[in-house]
Amino acid sequence: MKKAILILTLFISSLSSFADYRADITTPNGSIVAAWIMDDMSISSKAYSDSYWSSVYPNAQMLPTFDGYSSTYRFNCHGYAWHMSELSNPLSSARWIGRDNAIDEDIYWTDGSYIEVSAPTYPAKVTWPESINHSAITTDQPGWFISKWGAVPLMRHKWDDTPYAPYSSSDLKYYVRNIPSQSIVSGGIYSVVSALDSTYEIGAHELTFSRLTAKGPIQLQRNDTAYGFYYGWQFNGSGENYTIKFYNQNYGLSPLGSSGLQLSYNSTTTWKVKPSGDGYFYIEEAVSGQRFTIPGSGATTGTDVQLATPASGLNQKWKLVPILRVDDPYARETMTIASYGYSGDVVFTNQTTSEQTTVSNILPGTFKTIYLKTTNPYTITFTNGSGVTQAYASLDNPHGRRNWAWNSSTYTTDNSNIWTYGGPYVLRISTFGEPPWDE
Amino acid sequence: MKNDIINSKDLAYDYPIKPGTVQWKQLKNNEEKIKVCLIPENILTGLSTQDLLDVCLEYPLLNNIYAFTDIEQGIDKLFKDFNGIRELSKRPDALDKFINEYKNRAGKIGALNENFSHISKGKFIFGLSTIEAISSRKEFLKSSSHSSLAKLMSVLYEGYEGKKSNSDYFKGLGFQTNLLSRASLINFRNGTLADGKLGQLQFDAQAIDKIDLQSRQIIESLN
Repeated sequence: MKKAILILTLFISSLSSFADYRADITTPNGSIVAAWIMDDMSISSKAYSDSYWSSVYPNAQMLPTFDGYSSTYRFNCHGYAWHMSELSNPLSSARWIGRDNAIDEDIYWTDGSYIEVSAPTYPAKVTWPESINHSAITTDQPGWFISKWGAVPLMRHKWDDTPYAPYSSSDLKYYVRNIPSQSIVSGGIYSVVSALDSTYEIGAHELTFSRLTAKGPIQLQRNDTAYGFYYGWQFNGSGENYTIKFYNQNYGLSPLGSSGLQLSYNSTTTWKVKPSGDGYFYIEEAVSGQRFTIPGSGATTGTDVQLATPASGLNQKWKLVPILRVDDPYARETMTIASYGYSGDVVFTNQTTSEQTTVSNILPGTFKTIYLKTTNPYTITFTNGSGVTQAYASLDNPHGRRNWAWNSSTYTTDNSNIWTYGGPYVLRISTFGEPPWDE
Repeated sequence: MKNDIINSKDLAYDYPIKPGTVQWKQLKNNEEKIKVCLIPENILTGLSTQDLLDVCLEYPLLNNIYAFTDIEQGIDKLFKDFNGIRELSKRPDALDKFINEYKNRAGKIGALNENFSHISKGKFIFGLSTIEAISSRKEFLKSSSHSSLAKLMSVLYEGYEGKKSNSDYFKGLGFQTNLLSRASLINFRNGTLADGKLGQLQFDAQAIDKIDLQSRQIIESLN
């Protein structure tokens, strides 16, 4: 979420005619944008304004804002297009940009946060010449924009059916987020997250990979709720060409029929991973050119990810989120240790570097959080000083769980593949009779 | 519930296609809307100044001036699109007609506290602001007498006082147009308020005090 810098320059006249005040915001690149929180118009003004503009522009759609009306003085076109429309709840940060200076919004592209593109696209920002001084956002319907009309309504409208027309289509400029292309590290393990909805990513169920002969389906799952699904995909290759394997197994992605995806043993299918220019990637089968695609109108749990003809929709764009962060040796993950009766020490041993992290004097009923490098698997050694030799432990991260039980004063785990997926981790240790992980 | 605060007049020229009709909805874009709202030239020049003002105030696209971040740019667009307002600005008595119209309307501010619908009240609020915003354009000021300029300032100042007494209705845009209008008039007379565009004046407490002071000076010069 963007940082709102409140600069309380309260401009209230001696008779309270104005209660507008300065509340600056920042561009995605961190530049400060002069912005204002404005006193809204009266309900009567809103009612008439909505009535007027719905009548004069009957082919546009009026979008609701505050108080059950569309018309509002609380934000203008620039505030909506450049700032508010980027928020999950746009109305939570209403701003008027350009109150005192007609070029205040220019900072969004002069600081490199956005770059101009030559053709209309979606999503994108739209600007008009300075003599009009208007901004909009594109929609998924070509030629239709959403923009705030000055002090009045928020409208979804045809490009040339606005109070600012007539103008030529060549008068309009389009801007997209300027996100430098992410480099893919060969051997790196990534979550493949949908651009349509970042809470969904491509996963395969544990039953799929544990039964070594099993195939897909490769499904879209919510990354915070789907139990038993795993999301680590290893990209091996260079340039645009990669094989995509399922975490550290020998199963890789390959086409299934004409439009499906499957896991197949030692798959050699080459996938072209192409930057879409806005921070996402298209993933195309090298031979057919068909792309990873979410079919239908939106991301839903259990949807089979398919291969389809290239288009430009968000349903074909994917963000690659590093899991192991192999490109960042200083990456750290949180490890929260919870004791259920356990008293003693825990030592984490990095199986690649032999580096050890010791957590001493863990006491019953306490929690402790440490940081670990997670670029390599660890073993965990428990030294139990509680006097109760039967002990249990579980290790959870967002993608899975491992359990251990032992009956000795010291115990060292295997280097469970749970490390592959990254944290945050929760390690529960118990000397109670029942394992704690089912609580 | 009562009807409009300002009763509609019989216009000497009525727009052939109006919002709310099937024909209007069939207009493909704003360019077509602008075209159907032009007043035929042979009628335009024959309208009296009062009739022309009435016709201009019913121009279907008049409120588009509020769709601009800088309302001055909105009025520039109005002048560019609408031959009615351009013709009105050529009439030497146009400002006096504006003054009378504004005075008449501002005298009814108290009706906002009566039993009119929100839409009727909003129409009244917008209408008052529109006259403020347009009447103080240099196109209307340049050919007007000192006396007319001072009268305009007088009614605007009274209008501001009336708005302050009903600030819940005029908050937001309502004060902005009045201050902008008076600043424009002061700048036309004295050139003392803004070097740049008036639409970008910062109406902070200091600026408002300055506008009020110079407004009173112009009004006093009438006496």
